[in-house]
Amino acid sequence: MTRPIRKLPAEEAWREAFAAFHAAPEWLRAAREEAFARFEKTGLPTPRTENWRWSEIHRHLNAPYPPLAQPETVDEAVLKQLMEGHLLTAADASVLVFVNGRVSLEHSRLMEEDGVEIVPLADVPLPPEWADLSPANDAIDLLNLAYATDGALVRVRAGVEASIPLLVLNISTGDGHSVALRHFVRVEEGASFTFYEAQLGGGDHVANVSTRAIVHENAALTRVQVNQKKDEGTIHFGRLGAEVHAHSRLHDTALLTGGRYHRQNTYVDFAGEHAEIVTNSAYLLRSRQHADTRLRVNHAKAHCTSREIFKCVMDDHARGAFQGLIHVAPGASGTDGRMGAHGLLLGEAAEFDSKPELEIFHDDVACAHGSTVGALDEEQLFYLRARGVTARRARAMLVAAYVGEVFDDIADERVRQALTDYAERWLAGEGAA
Amino acid sequence: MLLEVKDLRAVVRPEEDEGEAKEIIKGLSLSLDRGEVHAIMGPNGSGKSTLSHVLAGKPGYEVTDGEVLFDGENLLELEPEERAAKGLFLAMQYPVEIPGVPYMQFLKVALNSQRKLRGEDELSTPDFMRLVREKAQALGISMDMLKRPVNVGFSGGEKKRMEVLQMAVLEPKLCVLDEIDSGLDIDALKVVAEGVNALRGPRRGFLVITHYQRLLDYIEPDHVHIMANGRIIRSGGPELAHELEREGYAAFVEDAA
Amino acid sequence: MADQDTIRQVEELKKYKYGFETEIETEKAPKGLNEDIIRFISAKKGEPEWMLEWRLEAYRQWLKMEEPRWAKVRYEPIDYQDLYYYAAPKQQKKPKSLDEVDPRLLETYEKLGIPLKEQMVLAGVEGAPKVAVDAVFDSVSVATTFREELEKAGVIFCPISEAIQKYPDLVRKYLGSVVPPGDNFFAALNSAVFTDGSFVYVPKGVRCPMELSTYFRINEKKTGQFERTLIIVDEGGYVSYLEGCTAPARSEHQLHAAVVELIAEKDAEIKYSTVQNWYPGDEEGRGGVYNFVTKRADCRGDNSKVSWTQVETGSAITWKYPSCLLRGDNSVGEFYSIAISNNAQQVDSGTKMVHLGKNTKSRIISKGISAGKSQNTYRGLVSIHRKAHGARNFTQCDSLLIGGECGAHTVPYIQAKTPHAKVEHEATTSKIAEDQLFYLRARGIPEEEAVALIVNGFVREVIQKLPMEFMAETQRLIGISLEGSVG
Repeated sequence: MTRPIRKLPAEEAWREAFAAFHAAPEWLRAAREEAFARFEKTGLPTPRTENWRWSEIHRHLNAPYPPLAQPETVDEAVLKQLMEGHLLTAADASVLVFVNGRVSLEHSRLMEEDGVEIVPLADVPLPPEWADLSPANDAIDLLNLAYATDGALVRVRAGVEASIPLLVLNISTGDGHSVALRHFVRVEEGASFTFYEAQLGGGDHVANVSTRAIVHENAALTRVQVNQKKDEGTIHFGRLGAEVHAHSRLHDTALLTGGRYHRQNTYVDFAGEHAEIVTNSAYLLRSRQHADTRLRVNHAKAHCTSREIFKCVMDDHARGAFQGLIHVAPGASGTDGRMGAHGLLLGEAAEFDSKPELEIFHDDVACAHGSTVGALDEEQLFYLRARGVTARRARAMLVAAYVGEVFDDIADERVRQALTDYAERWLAGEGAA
Repeated sequence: MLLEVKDLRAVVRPEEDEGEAKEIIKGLSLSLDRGEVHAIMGPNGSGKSTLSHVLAGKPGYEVTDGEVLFDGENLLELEPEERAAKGLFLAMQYPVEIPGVPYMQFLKVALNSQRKLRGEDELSTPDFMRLVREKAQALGISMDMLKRPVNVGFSGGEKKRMEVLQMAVLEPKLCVLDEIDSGLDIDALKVVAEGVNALRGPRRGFLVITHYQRLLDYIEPDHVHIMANGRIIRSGGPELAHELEREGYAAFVEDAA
Repeated sequence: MADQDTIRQVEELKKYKYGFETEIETEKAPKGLNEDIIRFISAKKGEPEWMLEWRLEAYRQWLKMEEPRWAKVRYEPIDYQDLYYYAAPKQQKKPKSLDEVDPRLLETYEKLGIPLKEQMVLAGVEGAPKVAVDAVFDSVSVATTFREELEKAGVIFCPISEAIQKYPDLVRKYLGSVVPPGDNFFAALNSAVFTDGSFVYVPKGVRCPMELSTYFRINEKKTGQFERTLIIVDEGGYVSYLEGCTAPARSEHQLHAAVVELIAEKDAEIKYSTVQNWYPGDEEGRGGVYNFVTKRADCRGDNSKVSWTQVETGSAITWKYPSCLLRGDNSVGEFYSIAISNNAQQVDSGTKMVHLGKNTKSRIISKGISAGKSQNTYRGLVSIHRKAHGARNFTQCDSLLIGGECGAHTVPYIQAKTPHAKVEHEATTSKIAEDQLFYLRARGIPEEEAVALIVNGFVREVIQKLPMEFMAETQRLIGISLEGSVG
């Protein structure tokens, strides 16, 4: 049954381009070379790569998409529209803008706060963790490290409860190339921080955006991500690699609705006891959009709690896939993990696949997962219509209700409302940013 | 005439293309005017709930013959929401739970959707809140309940009381009450009946569907119809319900056969 | 009370009760696997040419295949050339009745405690339940009972080797039609070398008048057992079939690679129950059966129904996914499973429910219990195809952990290609409830028995799906399997 799988054009293009990239500054070189060497060994995922089984990456990466060596400029009017038209404008935050793989300070607006350092990668001394590929990685993550041209470096000093969140806009445009950004957020002991990330722009290109987060003891990090890429051109690879220490909390929420393809890799490692993570995501997909999530929560330490909710709504020919894993290491007593993966199929040709997996090597645990697939409830629909709500509105309301719990815990009322409202508008076709 | 049902025949549409369509309503006629309260009584399986579903336009049924006029207009051509906007309200035997949709939002969208369909201005949020607060108070419904998702975790009595609240807020012309007494103890029944009675008036009609005469002690009808096997087999005044209570359905059904 | 029985039996049986060996003269083919061995097996069985060709074709496919590696089981590579593929008790001719069977064999079955209740019937005991039994010893069917009575009803129940001779049309039509020879590595191996197994045909409109049962036993050293079961229930028919398995305790591993194919035509129903108690190996993982089994049912006709019930307590490794292809409209597939692993056992088992027809329904209830250093994985697939409008699945998958060194894993795959279907999957994993354990112990029940009681409660829903004859045996087995898991 083994048959060779042809190399994708993108894979070849990335190999060719690497020579240009490893001439980068010294600080980057070693990390890049190592990452690339590892990529060469594994190559891109194939349809037989278990963690990419429903990704159809071969279908999507059908062009070379070479890395963009020189930043491409974007029309000011277009930029302005992108910067003002997304869902996270509701957040009162410092703004750091990246355009086609490079920071744009002129479009950014950073507010100073004691104990909070926010700098673009540029040529500052690089924290070793920036190049760290833990907790887990795959070919796409390796490519990110090999090709990342910029990123935000955030450090919140011990004990600082930051009051000004950071909003990072990852804007990429144009056709036929790929861009890679790599952000790093460190929240030191007893500190807290809120980090918003918006994937914006459009065009037939690859955007590979990775965020590495370390949440130290007694600290808290909130992250909200939206993907509002325009049209159906962009292939987006998103990654969150988080390390959560004792008594700390990570709260991650995503609303992903843009682009042609979104692959999200979320890896969370518990690095201390009594920590807690929540990672919730809502996907609203239509036409031929394809979204795919890989989630791995590693309960390596005792007495940690994890909650994962994944809700995917698919209209038309859209495809959604979820592969989640709760891993409980030997000795991780008192683990409490719960994962839910749910698909709502609206379109006749829509498709949903899910694999919520439990891998448990210890007995003192309470773990559960649930997964459902179905259509809108006809009884609910009729009930609403019998009260005078139009069929279209009723469907929109039920869709919003379906994904609503994903946003429930977002602390910023205005951000939560913006995402909730969007979910209700989405079905009516008012979705595009 | 507010509601005219003429020789109505309806079948349950089978799922997909499986099996035979089953005829449930087999030539039913009924006229109901403003200000009137009609009761339809019938044994299980007589088709009374189906009648209410067909009137409200629930998917899954197909009208094969006859017509239904609502205020002189062909009701059967309308979508369920259009029927609601025209003033038809079906209080359901099993009000549906809708997790994630707060009751207040549901009620507001329903009221404003109806107003919009009727070409009226939407109610502002403060006006709406005032209206709901007033109606809820009259029914002894706490505002806390309206913050909860629609019908989720409500008791049988609470669900029915909320159906009455919807009637009070939406002010329909015709209320079809499908076994509104089912699952209620006597105290809950009284509360619901009082709510219904408060809505009675010269401009509004009621079609009360029930299995038991008991409900009619609290909501007194002007006309009583007995339904069996998809048809109305006898009509009369309120005394008919008492006669039925004494003699049981069997006697009537046999007579009709 | 059954629970009282369990406790008593737990005390009585301290070791693998079935770990004895029977000394019977056997005839073996030389070790190893090649086309000549397959020709030898085929010739021994007096098979027609088409059957030999079928086997050889399967063998050639097998040569090109790789052993699957995706299951969460680990084992030393199997040397397929170091096994015997044919071992048969020496007999002059086939026995016509139990009387003609070697008494030592019968003794073996008695020791096994097989529900050979028909012996009571033969002895004239009134009211004894009727169960027709086919017993497969190493590779060969040695006794099939109640054949005459079944024949009266039109039901065929015989060794598959006999069916190949007597009912070639039926066998040719159905063999490999559900599990094709090239389906997977172990199915290909089985197709090439299977030596016996059971064949059942229930004709149109017939409800099989009694439970059918096959008892499998591996006896010989270094002998692979490759049985093949084929059950066909024609329109409107019904059969309930049970299988049980044991093997002697041996310090080396034994290979078992079976294939079971079920075919349910229109309005037909098959209930297939398994109590698998192959030798699990010792505490250190020495010895034990490698159990690689392909079981699949084809719900070919409209309104057909197949129900798999399995109790997996034995084997060093269990690799087994009894599945249903729900092709007929309104067809129903069910999977009820108890999988218990202790010591060094590894289980990777579950089911596939493939919804192809309209309004097809499936239900999966899986109860996994891990103890000792064992690893226990549920692996399942629910697939709803584009045209399966009205399809419905419900899955409940619960795992219980006893002790801090074992593993319990749940790997469900859910694929839906139509909005006109509903799939619900729930899974939980938890340790055995300490408050329950304490409560029972405070009432004077020793810990090990308390565990057995709690586990019996945990798996109750599945036990109730078993035929009466197996219920008590299963409860007893649970107690035995979990010995040494606490304290």
